[in-house]
Amino acid sequence: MSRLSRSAGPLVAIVGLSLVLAVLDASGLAFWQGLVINFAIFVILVVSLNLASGFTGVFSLGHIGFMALGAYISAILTLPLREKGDYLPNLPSWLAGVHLDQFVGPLPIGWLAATIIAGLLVAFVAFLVGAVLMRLSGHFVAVATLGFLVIVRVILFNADDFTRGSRTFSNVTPYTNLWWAWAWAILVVYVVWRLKRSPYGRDMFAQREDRWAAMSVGISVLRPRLLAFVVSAFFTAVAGSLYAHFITSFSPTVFYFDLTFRVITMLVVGGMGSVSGSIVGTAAVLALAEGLRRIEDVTLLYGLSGILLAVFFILVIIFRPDGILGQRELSFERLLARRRSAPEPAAGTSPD
Amino acid sequence: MGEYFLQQVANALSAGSLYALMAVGLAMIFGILRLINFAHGDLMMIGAYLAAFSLFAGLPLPAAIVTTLAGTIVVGLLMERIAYRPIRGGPDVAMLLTSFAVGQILQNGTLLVSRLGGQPVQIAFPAPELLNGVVAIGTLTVPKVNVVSFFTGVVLLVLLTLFVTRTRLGLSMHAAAEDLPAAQLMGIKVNRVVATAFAIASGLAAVAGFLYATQAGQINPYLGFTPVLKAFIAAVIGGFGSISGAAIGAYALGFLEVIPTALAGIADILPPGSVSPGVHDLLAQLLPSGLASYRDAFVFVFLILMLLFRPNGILGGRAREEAP
Amino acid sequence: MLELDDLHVHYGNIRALEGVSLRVAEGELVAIIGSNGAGKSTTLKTISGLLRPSRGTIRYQGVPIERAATDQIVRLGISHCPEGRRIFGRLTVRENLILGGIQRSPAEVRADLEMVGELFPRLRERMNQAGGTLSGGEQQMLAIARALMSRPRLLLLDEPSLGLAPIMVERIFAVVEDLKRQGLTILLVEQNVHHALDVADRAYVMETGRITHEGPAAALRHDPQVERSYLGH
Repeated sequence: MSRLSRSAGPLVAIVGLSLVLAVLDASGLAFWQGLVINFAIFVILVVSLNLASGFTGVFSLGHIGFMALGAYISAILTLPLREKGDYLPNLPSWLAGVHLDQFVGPLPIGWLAATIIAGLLVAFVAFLVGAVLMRLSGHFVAVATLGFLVIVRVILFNADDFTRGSRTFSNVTPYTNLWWAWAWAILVVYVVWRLKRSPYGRDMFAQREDRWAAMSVGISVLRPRLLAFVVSAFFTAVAGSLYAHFITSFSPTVFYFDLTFRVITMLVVGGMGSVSGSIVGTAAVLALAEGLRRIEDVTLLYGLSGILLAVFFILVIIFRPDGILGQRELSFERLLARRRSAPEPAAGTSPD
Repeated sequence: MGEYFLQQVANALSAGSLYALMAVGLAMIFGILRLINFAHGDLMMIGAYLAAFSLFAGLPLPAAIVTTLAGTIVVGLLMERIAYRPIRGGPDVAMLLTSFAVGQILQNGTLLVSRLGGQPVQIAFPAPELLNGVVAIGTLTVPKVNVVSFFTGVVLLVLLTLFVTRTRLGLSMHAAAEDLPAAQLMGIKVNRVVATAFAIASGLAAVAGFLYATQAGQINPYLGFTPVLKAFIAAVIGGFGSISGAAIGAYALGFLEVIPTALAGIADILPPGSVSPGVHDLLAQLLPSGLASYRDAFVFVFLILMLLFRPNGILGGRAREEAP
Repeated sequence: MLELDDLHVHYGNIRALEGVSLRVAEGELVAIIGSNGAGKSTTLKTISGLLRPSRGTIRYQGVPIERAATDQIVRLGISHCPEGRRIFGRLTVRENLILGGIQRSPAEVRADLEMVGELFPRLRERMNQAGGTLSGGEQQMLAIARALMSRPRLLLLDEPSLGLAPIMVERIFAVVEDLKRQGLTILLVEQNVHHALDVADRAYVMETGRITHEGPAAALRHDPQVERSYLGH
């Protein structure tokens, strides 16, 4: 297909998305707006985790730790001066004066800066952590990264002066809206997609399949893993900032195990290694979770949604461990071709 | 001051026993299946809840113990049959993730049943009279339950070691842990060996749950999460895959954990005049009492160091190559 | 005694065996020869139940066993000595042997330990040593001895000469001939074609999952194609 038609698909999707967002924005339906913003944030989380774990085969169970750090750092930075004085009275002086709550016209430049700063700081942390942990494999790296999650939580609980410890951190300005959430989501999808098709991406997948074979042809194992880990941490932190400025109040317990499991479910359902799969998987699991939550509200059987989601996860792992799309990607050409009833291309397609 | 350290030693031994009961079960299952069963902590939680409900129902202690053991073992066996057996032989990560899902089911299930029974999330544990109170050992006063925990742990470990080394079933488990397909060729019924491992591990977890609940005084559906992580650390310290290693690792962990608390307490308990005021102040600044709350983080950093430099445990040598 | 009929085995998408058919009569020593990856070990693994065929049947004394569990197959009297020896290095020689006879009564096992000690004096000397401390040749002896502990009627022997020095290879094959003389039926997989054809009654040649030649061992030894491919003439 010509390059024009290949980019036509995604462009159509973006235009379509913008229309939907515009309508939603104007409609004033707060519930649906919230759901769609939530969707965007989870897409960022899942696609980032896909990059870190799905592409490389190295399972990071502590990724939500990066989200937590991103949330707290950005929230501390954007807190207006007055709030800072009341709310976080013990901040060190160099931080107490910082308040990234400036606007340039309608754009919250301060928040944008805070998000990027948080992302870069967390990426740096990820670089240090990754340099150490990415040498491990299999279950060892999974548990070591889980240890990271616990360590982050302990630090957040104890660094009272910065984080208010176990008390709720609130008064966060709700900067996050439909446009910002989805702008970031599209950026992340684009970046990860490009990475997948780049030489870096090929290295990541190569050492995922067979570490020894990859090493024997000179593909470094540490470098692609570390790159994936750091980039994904950056975006996960961004998701943290978006989340913090969406729900406006949180505590360290939010960024722990339940959230981790939910993101992993979305990743597995969509297919580890497929970017479009992550989007589909996220949508599917969110829809399922919402539906189950309604049932819970009606029947008062709290805990049922957790059980059923976990059962769903186990069924997927047993019967369809590759998820919906495996490593393949949705392609508009193929969708269009099917509609024109053109003959299907051969099954077992290679990753796009 | 000697008393203070003895107190810490007593704490370490008691905690070590609990960790040992968990770590040994975890190591057994990992040895045979290469599965890190994160739902193991939830087996402990189920044990605690079964104990609570049987005691609430007025069962005498022996009956409560039997109910707790039997119930937890049934849950463990079901877990293996339904969730793990279908994916045996698949990628390691799949089993690990599945164990999380199983954990979620157990936690939410317990929450649900609790709610339906009209109970709050956190329940006070009705500790049996026998385990209440303290015991005087020399100049120390130690909670009775800690002493019972320590001895129960030791006795069960000894029994388990005898079972594994002296019986044919135990020998089969050893073989299965070392080389599962070769063990299969001997005509060993792999399903039976795996089920036995799960039954034993669940039983040990049940005992750990009962003792933990008595010590903590409260139970909630999420109590299993940190213990299983700590049991994992203990197993790693001891060199994953051997029972004695896991036990050693568990006691080592017990001692490792008291170090921050002990250190933090030093500055406070030094008798006045024993060190110069300058040194005293320095110690107080270096080892703030708040350090104790960093205990969990400290332990995990240690875990990461172990995984990097001594993946075969403290006594182990070169890294055994894991399938990537 | 053993009949494989049109056996097909897949590893995922890879076809390991395609339409393999062979027979072993009681008391015979039949060899399967062929280069690496030909499917020889896969054949043995399918017989002993480690792998399941996607098509075809395996009959042992008339009874179909292609869907049977390994422990049942062992009970029927088939014992598989695997490629690479696969002894339990952390267990002692004695424990390894006991495991070989795990399906039988302790009294029988004790008696058989004696018998095995006679057959393999070197093992008897090292009864309490850890398996991992034995030399390659001794480990191979242990593997064979262990396989014999279940008193099999049919022994599947996978590449016993692999990685052994020539003098050990001689000794191993002496043992194999001994066992054959005692009436044990043996299905032998080997890359060492000389020795294999020396001890065997009949042989099959396998290549990429199929049987390409078969016949009496003597005939195959002089077959020009076999000579060229495997004997290096």
